[in-house]
Amino acid sequence: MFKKVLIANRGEIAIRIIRACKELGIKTVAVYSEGDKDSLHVQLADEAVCIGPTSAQDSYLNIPNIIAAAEITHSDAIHPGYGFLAENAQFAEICSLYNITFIGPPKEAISLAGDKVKAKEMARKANIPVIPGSEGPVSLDDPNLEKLVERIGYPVIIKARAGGGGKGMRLVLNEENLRTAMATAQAEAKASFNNPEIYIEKYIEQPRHIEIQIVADKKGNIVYFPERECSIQRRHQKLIEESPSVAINAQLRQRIGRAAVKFASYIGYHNVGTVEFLLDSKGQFYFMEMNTRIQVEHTVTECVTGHDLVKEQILLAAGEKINYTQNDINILHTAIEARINAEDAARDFSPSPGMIKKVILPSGPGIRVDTHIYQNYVVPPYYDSLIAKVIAFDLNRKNCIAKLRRALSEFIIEGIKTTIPFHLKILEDEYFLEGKTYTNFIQERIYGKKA
Amino acid sequence: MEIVDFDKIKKFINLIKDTDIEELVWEKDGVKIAFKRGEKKIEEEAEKQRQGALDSEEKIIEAKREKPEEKKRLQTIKSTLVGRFYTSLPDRPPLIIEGTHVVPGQKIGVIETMKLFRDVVSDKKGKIVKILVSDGEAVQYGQDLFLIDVESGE
Repeated sequence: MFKKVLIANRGEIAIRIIRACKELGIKTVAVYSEGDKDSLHVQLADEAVCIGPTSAQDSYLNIPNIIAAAEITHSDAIHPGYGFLAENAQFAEICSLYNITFIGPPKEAISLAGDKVKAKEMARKANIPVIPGSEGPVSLDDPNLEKLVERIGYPVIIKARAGGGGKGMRLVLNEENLRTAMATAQAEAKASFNNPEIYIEKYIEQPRHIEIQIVADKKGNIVYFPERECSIQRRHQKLIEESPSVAINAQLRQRIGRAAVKFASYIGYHNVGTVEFLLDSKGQFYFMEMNTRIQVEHTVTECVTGHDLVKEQILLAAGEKINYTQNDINILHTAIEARINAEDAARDFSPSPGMIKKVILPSGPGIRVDTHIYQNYVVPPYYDSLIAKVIAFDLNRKNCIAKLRRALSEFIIEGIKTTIPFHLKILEDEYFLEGKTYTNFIQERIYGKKA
Repeated sequence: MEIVDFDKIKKFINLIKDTDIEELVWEKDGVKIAFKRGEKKIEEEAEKQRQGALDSEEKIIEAKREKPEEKKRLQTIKSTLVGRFYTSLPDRPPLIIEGTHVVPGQKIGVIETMKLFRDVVSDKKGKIVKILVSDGEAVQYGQDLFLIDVESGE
């Protein structure tokens, strides 16, 4: 087992990992930028090392300084959290060169899953349903372009090969707009990811975002957890996640879970990870991608099943075997998470950094809050705007929604704007209450616009 | 140009010496007289500076006991890396010792990170007064490494 783990991250996830380490009896090292001197993770860890100036590029993404911090503190493992270096195969490789265990999957799995076109190829080979599409990058110069898209069938969506967060994505309803949309998507992809490659996929109308958490040890044992539905998104950023999904019965849960396990096994995966699928209104699911890290919403699964995924992740990286079976994983609760961001929903979700003058966190039965904020903490403008995750869990969805509403109305933050009022609006929406959620829910129900 | 009226200046001094006024600026017809309270009594300072003021083109009396640069002369050189600090590469004489004069760009130490030695370079001109970390000590980003008596004229 590790003696000391360095956490190469900040915010609530750094604290989540420190807590898991403490419970496992492992010493912790926090790293921080000059802009995070007063951050809670710095205070909670056993040691802390300043690794650079405020800019993330020079601090939380500064591989030499992070490795050096692990060296001078004699850390034997690095937990990357999510974001920053979590899905950087090169970083994972450098860690192993310096005899530091990277708490995550093997570097080969990271690079494979990071290439979305390649990942789909693998899924297809493993006989996992994939959304019909171009099966590779497409070019405007291709004379068969129109024919190809005709075969996939309109409407189609154009995506960036290196993409994420909705950048470089374009919806195309008919042939007329195809080439213009492709050109803009290409330009956007080039600007955002320095890679203009794009591919085309069939657009699934009113889809649900369903993802499967898997846990895999180094001996080849893999289990899946009950699905999380993360359909409530704004600009492809998740806002609300719930588990289990109202759209999935026990039979479908097993089918989709087994597909996720098959994919993980096919690419030689170990550690924790999440396979994302789109589910259409007829119950057909399609592989989308795999996230090779612990995710923001892992908390939902923890509340549903009682498992501690971060502790398990650390144990797996240390070489331990999974000490339970698929049949031991049960749905104990329904859980719903609201991501609270320091953003002003009334001003197009513009960031709202600043000093938190007063904060009262919600509590009471069935409420979990993961956060790094405290009174007089200054939310810096340089990083992610996520400031808290509020998770409610109860015996059924109806009670769970009522509980989350109750918790959010108790949550007092003064000094900055947050997405709490926006969440309360969603939680009152009639469609949401009925479970009629799909990935364009926000545009249609909250903004009253067609996608 | 008008010649400085010392009686007028004295009047000003008397006016503010028993008050809490920290600073007073008087300006008329292109002549500017500014008073700033230092640590000593203003009157005494004004007396001391009388001769200098006679020749001064600026007609400004700075009643300060200490020049502001005095305090700023002692500065620190900070680490921009994380790692272990050494005054030299292994088995080499130290790049500098306390008392060495250094110039910007001069190598003044090394930091070992990831089994590589990277140079610590001075960004200031002056005399190294003290090396603030010991050989082999772990340092972090932004940590003070050297105390330097900065030489002016840059």
